[in-house]
Amino acid sequence: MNAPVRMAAPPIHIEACSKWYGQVLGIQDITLTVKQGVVGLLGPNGAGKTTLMKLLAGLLRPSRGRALLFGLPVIDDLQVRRRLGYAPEHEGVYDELTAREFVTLMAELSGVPRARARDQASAALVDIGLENAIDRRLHGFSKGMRQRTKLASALVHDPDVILLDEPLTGCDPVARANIIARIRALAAAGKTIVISSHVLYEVEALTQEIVLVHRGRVLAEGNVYRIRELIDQHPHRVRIECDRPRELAARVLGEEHVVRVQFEDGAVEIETRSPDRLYDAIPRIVLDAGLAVRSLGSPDDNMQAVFDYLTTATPSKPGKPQKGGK
Amino acid sequence: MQPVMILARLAWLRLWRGRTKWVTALLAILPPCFAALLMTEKDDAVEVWQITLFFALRAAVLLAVAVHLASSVGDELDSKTYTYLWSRPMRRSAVLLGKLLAIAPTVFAAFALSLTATWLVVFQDQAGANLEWLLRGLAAELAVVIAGASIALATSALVPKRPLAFVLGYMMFLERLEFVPFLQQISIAYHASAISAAHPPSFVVGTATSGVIGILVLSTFWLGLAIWRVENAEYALPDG
Repeated sequence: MNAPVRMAAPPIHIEACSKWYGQVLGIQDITLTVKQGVVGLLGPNGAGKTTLMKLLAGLLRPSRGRALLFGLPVIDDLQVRRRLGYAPEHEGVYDELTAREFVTLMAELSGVPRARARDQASAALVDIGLENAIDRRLHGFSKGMRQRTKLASALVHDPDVILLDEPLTGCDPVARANIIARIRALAAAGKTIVISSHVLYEVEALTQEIVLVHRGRVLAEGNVYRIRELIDQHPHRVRIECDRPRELAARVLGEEHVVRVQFEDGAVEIETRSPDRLYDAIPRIVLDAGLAVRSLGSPDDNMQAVFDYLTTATPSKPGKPQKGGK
Repeated sequence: MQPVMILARLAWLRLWRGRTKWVTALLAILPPCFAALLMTEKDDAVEVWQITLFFALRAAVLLAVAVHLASSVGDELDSKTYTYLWSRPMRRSAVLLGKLLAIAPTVFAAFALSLTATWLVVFQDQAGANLEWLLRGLAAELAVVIAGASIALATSALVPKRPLAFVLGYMMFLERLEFVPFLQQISIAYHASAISAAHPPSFVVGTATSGVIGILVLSTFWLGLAIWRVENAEYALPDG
């Protein structure tokens, strides 16, 4: 009687899960269901993303609640882990092995028969763009190459659920494009993929579905554009370094969405209620005034600022996730 | 059993390509050299064999096993490679058993060669007539490798930080209980002496059978403790 229930169970379900490391909180009371496709797990460093990933990978036992893969507790059910691929955040690998040996052994440990494991490992490494380094020792691999090797080891046994902890960290643009293309292909093939990152634009390149984690809790979940809207409801700062910041400020103040300007050394910081409209206006103003812009950026383009906005927005409901909607 | 075999291959590859194998090679050279040196001082070949084996089993073999296995868990934790293994469909203890399966036969083989060379150095043209000394020596070596490996693995699971220091401390202090009546039962060396019959005449030991039983009990206890600990411990530290 259990089989139909398990067939219908979502690939990932976390049920009122909490994890403490002694007195230190990892995650607190997280309930989350992930269906097919790519979901981005976003949060600043120390938010609890890796703890959540380790709970889902069966590396940690929840202090309270359950972490289920296809309806089965991943910490206790060894067989369900055949359907799991996990690429951890760290760079550690077995340096004495070649990439092919490492991925072959990982394939065998995931249940791939020895006769097929080597071929599947080779194919996984070629897929991820490591065909020229396949028989080189991991000891000499760059950070980006290690990232790709880890990814190959997570994918070699064709798992249904793939957990990728900061998969783009340390990758050069070519490797990054390669990994993004591979993840998109896996999503198109019907896999369930969870990607953690502390960089919003990395996740935006891969999915529209995100879960925001902050201080061990899910702060918001849903469509990335809705999350963006939530963020954009709050003033957003843009910092521009140019040759005549006062002239730029004078022109920008004509825009009705600009709330405040502030001068710094050779730069102006503009606070706006509509970042998109400000980013549209800036090139026009710069061209009209003939300004020489040295740099343009937002002090708010980091996850901590995003979470500061959201935690300020929901002070009365700590830990209650905002539904982003679809 | 299959994950254990796969992990044994992994451990073997790492051993073969790593540096610690040279520690074993160096330690394995010591007994025949020590015996050759003793031969210049003493005329009694049996006494030289007994003294050499007495120290070889207590120091060189135990140390070689400890060097390879004491950091079995700590190495995986430090390099975080445990995350690749324990997220796979396998029992956590397979990591320990795989390393045991790769390392123990290797150390045994290295010291089997070493003790055979020692036996040839000591008994020379009388070696054939003294084969029993070699066989009992090899049996005692096997016992020390198995029991020592079990203790090293238990230490690695119980004390993943600085496990080698703990194993060396064990060897230097607890193993010396071999000279204390009753408490000597927890000493590997005491039972090894019973199996090898290589000990000072004043040192009272049990029979070879009691030695084998003692080693089996010790190995089962320590290996069981190692498996229990690694299956139930939570080694991960808080992180993002």
